[in-house]
Amino acid sequence: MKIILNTIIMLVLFVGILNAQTFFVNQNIDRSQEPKPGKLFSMELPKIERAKLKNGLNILIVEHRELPVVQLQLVIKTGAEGDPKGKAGLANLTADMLDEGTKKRSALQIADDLDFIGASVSTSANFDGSLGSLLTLKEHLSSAMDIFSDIILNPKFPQSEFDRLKNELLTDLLAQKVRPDIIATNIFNQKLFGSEHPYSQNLDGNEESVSNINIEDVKIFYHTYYSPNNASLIVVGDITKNEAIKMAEKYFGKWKKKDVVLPIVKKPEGESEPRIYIVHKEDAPQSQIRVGNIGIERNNTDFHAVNILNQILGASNGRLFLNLREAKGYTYGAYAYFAMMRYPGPFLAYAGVKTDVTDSSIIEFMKEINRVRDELVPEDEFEMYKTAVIQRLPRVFETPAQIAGQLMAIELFNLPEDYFSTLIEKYKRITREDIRYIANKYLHPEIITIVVVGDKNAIKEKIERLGYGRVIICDEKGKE
Amino acid sequence: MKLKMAFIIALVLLFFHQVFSQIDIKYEKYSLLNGLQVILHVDRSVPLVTTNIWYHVGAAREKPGRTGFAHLFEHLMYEGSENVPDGRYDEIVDGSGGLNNGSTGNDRTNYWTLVPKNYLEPVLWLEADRMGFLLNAITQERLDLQRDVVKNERRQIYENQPYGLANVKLVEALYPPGSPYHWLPIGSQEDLDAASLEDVKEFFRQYYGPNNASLCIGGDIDVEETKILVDKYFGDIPPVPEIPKPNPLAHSLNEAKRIVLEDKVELPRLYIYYLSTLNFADDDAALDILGQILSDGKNSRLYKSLVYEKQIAQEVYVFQYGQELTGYFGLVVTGKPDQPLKQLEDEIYKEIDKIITNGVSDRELQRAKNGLRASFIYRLQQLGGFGSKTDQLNYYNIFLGNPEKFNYDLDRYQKVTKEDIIKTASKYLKVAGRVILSVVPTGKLDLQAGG
Repeated sequence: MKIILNTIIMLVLFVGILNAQTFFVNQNIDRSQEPKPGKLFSMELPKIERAKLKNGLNILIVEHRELPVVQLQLVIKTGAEGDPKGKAGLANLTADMLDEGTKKRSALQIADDLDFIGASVSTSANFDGSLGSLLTLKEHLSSAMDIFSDIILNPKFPQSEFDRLKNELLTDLLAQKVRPDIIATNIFNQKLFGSEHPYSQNLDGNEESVSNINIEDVKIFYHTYYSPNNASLIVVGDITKNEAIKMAEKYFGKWKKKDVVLPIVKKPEGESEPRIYIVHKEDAPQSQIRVGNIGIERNNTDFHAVNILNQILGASNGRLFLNLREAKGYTYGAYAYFAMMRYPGPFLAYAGVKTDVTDSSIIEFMKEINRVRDELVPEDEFEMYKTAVIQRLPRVFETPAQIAGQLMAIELFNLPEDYFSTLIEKYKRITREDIRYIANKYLHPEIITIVVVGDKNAIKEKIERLGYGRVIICDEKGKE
Repeated sequence: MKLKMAFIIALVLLFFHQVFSQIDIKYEKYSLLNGLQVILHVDRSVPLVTTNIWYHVGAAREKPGRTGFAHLFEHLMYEGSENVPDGRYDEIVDGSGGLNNGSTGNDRTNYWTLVPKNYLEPVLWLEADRMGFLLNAITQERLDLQRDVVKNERRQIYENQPYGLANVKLVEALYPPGSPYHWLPIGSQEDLDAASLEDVKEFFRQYYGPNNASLCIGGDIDVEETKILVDKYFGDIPPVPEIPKPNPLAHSLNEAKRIVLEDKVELPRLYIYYLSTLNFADDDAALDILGQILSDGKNSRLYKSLVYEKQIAQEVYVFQYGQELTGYFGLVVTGKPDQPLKQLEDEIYKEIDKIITNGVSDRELQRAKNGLRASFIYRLQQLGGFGSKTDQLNYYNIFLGNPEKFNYDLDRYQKVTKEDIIKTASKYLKVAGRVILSVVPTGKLDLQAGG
């Protein structure tokens, strides 16, 4: 009734200025009726063209002509999992050093040349790979490629630039010491994987490990793993297949292949009982909580079901968020995910919560983990999360950088050619029973690892009273 | 020599022309009778649609003692409206596989969704309901809960974050207590606590109506169908009373104010803020470019001197922040461990003086312009979300009254000359009035930049 009245008032109000420009429809709509989404449309994921250079470099090309822009992603298929023991951070530092000088360009010149054409290059490493990316306007593609290939193929690793970068990295690590969120995640990984496993370390390493790295280590890492036969070049944007292949040949054709011995990663020991670690932060207004166990690897056949579980438990409309933020107001956000890499990565649930509800928050974390193991997810809820996982696919293929990111997974994990074309079908087949099954298979309250960074004096006793497991006090480096 | 120069200029012009014609963003703009401005942009490259709503209200329309409302509202907007039960918004948008978010600034708040194209109608229903029918759904209980979430946000992003309170202190010192820019959108814990249900509702009645908003819909849409849907859901939402256009503020600051903040940080950091000028005002673009020349890239003045060569700083960041009614120019330098900030302050002034005395090189200026132009184009890659092309269309529409200001905006940067850089540097940075904030590790007050 009110709505109709409003409409009438509006019409009266504006009758004087009604003109041809605007078409006003007087519809008495019933707003209490939620409109349903239109029919699900078919999705065409981008067509991937492939080629291979004689030196073994794989080329993947997706034409994307929306803007005069080209995105390149060079993927070296070894990353921080190749960091030698005691030298965590080496893969990252090696990637960082690429644009610090080549045989023909100084560090400043590289930056100046790239900035002058508005091209952006970034180099980094994750556990699975070492990555170099280039984003450039199409019209500057050859100049940009000339510099980009130069830093990948001919880095000189000057000692003075290394000293500067190493010092910067050590300073960053020092600065991170006051970040309770970073400390919490670092300690969590350390306790979960044990010191022998690369996943126990931060990608940046720690003060000690970075101090141990010298320029020779960087050169060795580079010469061991940076090789065309251990790499793929992904090209997405305003470019044809032929142009891309010609370009790859011109700039990367002379890159010499060599035998690459890939690093071996041993299985972590694993836990046998639940433990709660507390890292003391005087007067912290918030506690950073990390809860989890070792999860699964990227190539696991349960990947699809686990992705739906990620959504149910950990997305921004997932159960943890709805419970801890929306229902309880304990936190600004609570999330969870299985990090799926070449080897089983962590399942991690996390939040920063008000100090006085630290114990209550841990209760809710455990409650949600147990609930998804014990009870079938209600039909409606399950359908919503599953639909979300399927329908978000077009969104992750929108920009050239996103497309390149998707193709990177294919290369890093040797996913099958038909990976994208069968993806939706595989998701559709997952049932609620599958979710309960894999929740029991991969979530382990009986050996759960919990880390809390917060004010010990305010939280320790209450946490002990929970009786969830042994409570251990450790320092910011994890020393007990 | 002159001839060669002319030739280069001609080439450059040709080049600009080419780029401009390539970023011709097609859209259609019209208004509903209730004053809602609508911008439609078709992009069929992916089966997605995005809705992007800007309300021309932010923290700078709040009143002293009642700060944080615009941002608190951003939260309440997701908690259900008359016809949308609590939680349904996220169920629909996140459940579609889409994304949504909102943000609150000093002069505007924005809300966007990015969803599969078959979700356009449900999303319009959601957005319209919270534009027109929110008030009756805000209960004391919902207000209290969201107030808690916001206070947690404040704890997490400001109080418990290294340097988190720096900007709070800076704007407090830069702008007098009566200025609407004296506080940040997050507001204060006390004001949030003091907010009554009625206060909050009153704020909504004043600003959150179709005649104070711009709705941009982009993506794989049918224009005629979309118009009918927009009319259906937004057409009968009553406007709010006319909002008087606020006048630019004439703030002045006659002395150097020094503040020191001990914080749980490892690295000392120096902030120097000067009052500058409004967004899109005459000197705004030159100041933007000056900021780039000072701190963007390894070859920028301050980065090269302090981070790269002397290695006494870990990072530098210089920026012009032009707002709707005022603006400031900020220099932020983080020192290496135990680096006295006094030395950094001296070095900063030295570099500014060098620019004023010797000017900048052609290459420096052109590098900054080229970088800006490229980032303009890169930004257009994204259909929806913060900084995307639909967000950009709304940005221009709200502040310049016209969504197609891409070329105008780019052009004002291309027009900046070397003389403009010298002129603005001496006009805005060679004045006594400034705020100098030293953030030092607890117990290390001796590192602060002294008088």
